[in-house]
Amino acid sequence: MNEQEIKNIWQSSGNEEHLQFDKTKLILDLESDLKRFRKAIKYRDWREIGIALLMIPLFGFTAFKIPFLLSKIGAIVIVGWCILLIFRILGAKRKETILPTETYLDYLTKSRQYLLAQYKLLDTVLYWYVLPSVTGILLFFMGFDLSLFKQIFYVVIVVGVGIGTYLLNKYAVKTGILPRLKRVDGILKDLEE
Amino acid sequence: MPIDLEAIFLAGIEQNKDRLFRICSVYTHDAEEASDLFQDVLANIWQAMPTFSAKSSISTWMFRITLNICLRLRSTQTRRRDIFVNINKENLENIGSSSEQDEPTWLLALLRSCIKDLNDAEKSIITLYLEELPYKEIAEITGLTENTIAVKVKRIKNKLLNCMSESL
Repeated sequence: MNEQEIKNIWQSSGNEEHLQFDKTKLILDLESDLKRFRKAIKYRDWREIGIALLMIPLFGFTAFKIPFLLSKIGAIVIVGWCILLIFRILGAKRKETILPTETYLDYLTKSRQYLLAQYKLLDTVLYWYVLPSVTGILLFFMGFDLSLFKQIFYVVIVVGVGIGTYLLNKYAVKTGILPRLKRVDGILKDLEE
Repeated sequence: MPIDLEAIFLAGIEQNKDRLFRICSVYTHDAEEASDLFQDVLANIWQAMPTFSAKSSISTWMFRITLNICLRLRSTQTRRRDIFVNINKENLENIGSSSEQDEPTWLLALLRSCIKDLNDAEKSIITLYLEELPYKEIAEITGLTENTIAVKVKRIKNKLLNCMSESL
């Protein structure tokens, strides 16, 4: 078998595939779907940022007004955490733009950068999300004059949610990001050889 | 979208649809998945149309997008079988059914299986080569140099010919 025969076999498959397009329907459907998709991504990011923006003045004011020292410190920690959260989300968003119109090599390189940014974001979630939020919330509640039972109850709930968040993010890194990163690295290596 | 871009999009798709679909077919397991991926490619080409400038030909540009979308590391939510099902159901069904039933099955199946055994980098280059794109155009699409392409094509071609010959 020679090269031309292989080319002929390859190209023969398209002869049987008669695609036609209903232009209007195609365009309307695609437009509507892409808008929906982009909206969903935007919604997720702005929801997180919106909640953080709401919490900053709320806990900022509480920190100023509340008489209990521990709660005051807790509120300040929460405000700091919200600010950090906004910066981290916006920072990761900056690396999000990977256009499929780029060359294959650029597309791979940018995909790698994006995946690395996501990896760093999720892998360090303990330090910028879980610890500050758990510490802030616990301090805030501990400042109030609560019974021992209530204190234990809040600690268990808050720490439990914190551990859950941490494990979920670790799982996302392991199953969602690392395999993709490995694949992109593999392709880049193959292209360089 | 301006009418002229829309016209370019439709003309480009009409001219390249079979070639783009063939590329999709080596990145998927069956015809149904290939048509899903093809829809994804169409959606992305359409979305990117406003950024198209005549620096490269519409075909080169479409191949570039196709390759990148085929490569895209698909997560569970990107499996969009149902989303576009109403685009043109009967036509999309034709892709799968005809490719499964009418093509010179075993040789084509063998070729596709040999291509699927290649790694992603090799797949991307050989599919463009089999579409008889010149090295210059393959280089424009991939971002590699023409020399690199030439070396790689030679190597991949040998692999493919060996794979085909061994199985015949």
